[in-house]
Amino acid sequence: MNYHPDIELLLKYTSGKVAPALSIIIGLHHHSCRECQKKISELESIGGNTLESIEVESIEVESMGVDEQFDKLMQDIEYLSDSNESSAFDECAIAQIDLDIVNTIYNKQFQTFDWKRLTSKIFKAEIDLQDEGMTIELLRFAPNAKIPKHTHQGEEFTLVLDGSFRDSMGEYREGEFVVQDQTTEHQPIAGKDGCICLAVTNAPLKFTGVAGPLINWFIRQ
Amino acid sequence: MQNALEKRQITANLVYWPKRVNSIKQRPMSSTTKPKPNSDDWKVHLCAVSHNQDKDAFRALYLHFAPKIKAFYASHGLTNKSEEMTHEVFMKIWQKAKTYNPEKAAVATWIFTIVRNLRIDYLRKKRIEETSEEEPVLTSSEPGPDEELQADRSRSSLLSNIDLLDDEQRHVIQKVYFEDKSHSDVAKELEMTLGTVKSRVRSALKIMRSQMGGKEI
Repeated sequence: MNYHPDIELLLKYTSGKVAPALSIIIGLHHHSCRECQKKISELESIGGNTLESIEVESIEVESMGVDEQFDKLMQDIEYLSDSNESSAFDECAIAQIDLDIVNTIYNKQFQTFDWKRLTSKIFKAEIDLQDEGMTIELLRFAPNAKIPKHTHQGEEFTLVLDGSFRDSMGEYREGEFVVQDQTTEHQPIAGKDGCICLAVTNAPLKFTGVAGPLINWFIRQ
Repeated sequence: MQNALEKRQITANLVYWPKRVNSIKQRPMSSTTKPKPNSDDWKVHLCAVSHNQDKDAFRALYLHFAPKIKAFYASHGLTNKSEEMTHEVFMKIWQKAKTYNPEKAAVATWIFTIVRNLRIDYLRKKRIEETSEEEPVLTSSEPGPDEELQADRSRSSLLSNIDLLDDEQRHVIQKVYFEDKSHSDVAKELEMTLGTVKSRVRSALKIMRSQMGGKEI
């Protein structure tokens, strides 16, 4: 894989500081990218050092009533249900509550989404995270579909889930993580098998080509 | 070309979750004591919990880490929840002990991921409950793109991990990203100018960006 989240984005993801939509898209990449897995486990060791370096006065410890708390803990543990509910994404910095959607996407169950047609070759399915900070949606492009020229008002993070697409800067394949912002006006073209992407934006796309205004209108519907 | 691509992947600051509220007491890190990410101290204990459900080993882990975890949550704005969440962390530690791989991570690092994920869960649930009252996305005090990059340091290209950073760089990265401290708080704490802190963050990011993770995969 050639396209990855930048180190600063990985730092924020690793320390649990990115918005839910971003944690999902980075988490999906994290899960499938060995290079980023390695980087993230190194960054997590900074988190481990942070925890280890916290100094606690022994008086504070005693005043907590540690023994009682530990007994209470062991009591609760005794009554823990034995269910082994572990997810493949347990190690990713994603909220438990969002894991269903992550699993659905990871297992490529794309037919379960509510697809809307934007043009004859472009479809999208919005994902409702009940989080108003960012938009997260699936985009599907027919084989060799030309995506109209557009810029991004904010930033867009794209993860290729299936197939591929290319633009003037390169070709992006399954698992790759691409960032675009307002400085990149591009006109991507889907690969011969089409392309399904997960896209996270903090502002809507703005199409700039001849058909731009029309598509912008469609997208807002 | 490679440069343009690398540059494109770099994004603006997207720090999102609530900022730090209280201060946190930190063991002073002198430049001679390097943190020990692979410390074996607690591995024996955690493995005993994993293999034999050893309650004494579990208790030792609890005595050592519970107060730290509580302080960690408190310093991340969760003072009222810190006790409850620490309790939950240890339930998870007990349940998940068998998934711990001592060759992969230090115990503190593994526990950190549990602490982090429970915090993410808590904030996420809270966020959904409060979804009607929209709060503004926090913007950053990140240095502007025009700011000069400090000269490159340690160019040793063979190492491929966090050790590439010198103690001061690692220290600053830890404070800014894992202790949620603002650049100006870090400057005060370390008795540096704001400019020094900012350039140290940038030089650390630059080193990590170009060297970390290695290219051998």
